Amino acid sequence: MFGPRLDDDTADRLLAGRVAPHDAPPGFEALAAAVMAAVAAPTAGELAGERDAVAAAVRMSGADAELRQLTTPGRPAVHARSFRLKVAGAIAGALVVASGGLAFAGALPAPAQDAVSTALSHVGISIPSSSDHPDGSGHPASTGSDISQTATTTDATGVDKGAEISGAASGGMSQAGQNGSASASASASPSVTLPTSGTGLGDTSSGGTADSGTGTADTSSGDRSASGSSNAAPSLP
Amino acid sequence: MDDSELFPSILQAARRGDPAALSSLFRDIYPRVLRYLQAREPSEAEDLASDVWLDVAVGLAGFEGDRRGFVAWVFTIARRRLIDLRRRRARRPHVPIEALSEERMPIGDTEGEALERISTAEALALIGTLPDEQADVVLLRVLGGLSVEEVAAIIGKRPGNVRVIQHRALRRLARATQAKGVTG
Repeated sequence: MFGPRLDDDTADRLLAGRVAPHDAPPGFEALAAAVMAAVAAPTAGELAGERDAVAAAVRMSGADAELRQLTTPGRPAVHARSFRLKVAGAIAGALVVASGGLAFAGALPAPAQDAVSTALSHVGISIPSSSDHPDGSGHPASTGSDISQTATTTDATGVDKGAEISGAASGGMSQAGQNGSASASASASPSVTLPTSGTGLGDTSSGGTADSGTGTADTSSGDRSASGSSNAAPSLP
Repeated sequence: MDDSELFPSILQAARRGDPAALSSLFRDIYPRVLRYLQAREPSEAEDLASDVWLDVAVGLAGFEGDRRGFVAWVFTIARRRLIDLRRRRARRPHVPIEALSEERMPIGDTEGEALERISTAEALALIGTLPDEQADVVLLRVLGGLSVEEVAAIIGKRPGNVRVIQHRALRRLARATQAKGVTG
């Protein structure tokens, strides 16, 4: 049951790989050799992925700088062999968590849309930039105050009022109220389409808790995310 | 000038996305993290190590500390990745135990095998036979080069407890190597 004994100092030196097998206490010679083997110089095989790993890290750091204003700490993990796929998936996942899909819909404010578009272009993901939007505003809708003002000050009524408000909200793109009766208008597609999965955006905008973000990341990644906890790993002094 | 003195400038350059600096960090930590994971979870080691590296790349901007702190931070991430994997596996236990055990690297058991020729893979497999807690302590101390106090912070134990775990692990390993006929 009891093995050979070792004092603290010798144990520390042994674990640090500073005890050669022939200098090890009786019974620990083989263990000393095993420790030295465990910390042997890296093999070519262990470093084989260096180029891809560094390239992925370069892209992550560049993309991270551009996305930093939009994302919260933590990103969903992906489980692929390639660093390239991992990095693309990670950024896209973080983006979905952070913006609730608004970026993919081209519905973020122009500066944010451009930053996201540029960042994702580094990893081969194409989403629209603000210049891709017809009016160049990068946002399909007017501000809430504009819409509210239209709604409260217009002299129009019924279908016409709805069309005017819808037009303000869609930046003039809405055709509501132009096709027949009120009942026909009511069945038309809404002029402003926002994603229904706005949890990520809500968390970001409201300074939501890390748990919420992690939960979303877990969900997005098929419950395979560890990044919520990983990124929160303490920075030891 | 040793690695510790160069570390702040390497870290700063790596944060800017400098490939040479990132390469230096990769060479410093990736093989050690990979070995840690190979000893603990051989079948998933490469995938987990890749995830850890990407976590590090993303987290570099927010990391504050010296080289020892950096290594401890990286191994903290690796350990959490491992814990997450096992948690998920526990919820969906579908991998045959036999398959996992077969994937472990074989420990050299030829009687009279030359001590100096024990391979890295054999050494990791040997340590991987320890109970989880003991394996963690030994691997973090050996591969991370971390102190008892640093290991204690990572695994959430008191330093005194880590020393006890460490002694048990070393005695167990010494017995195992003797029983395997690995002699000097």
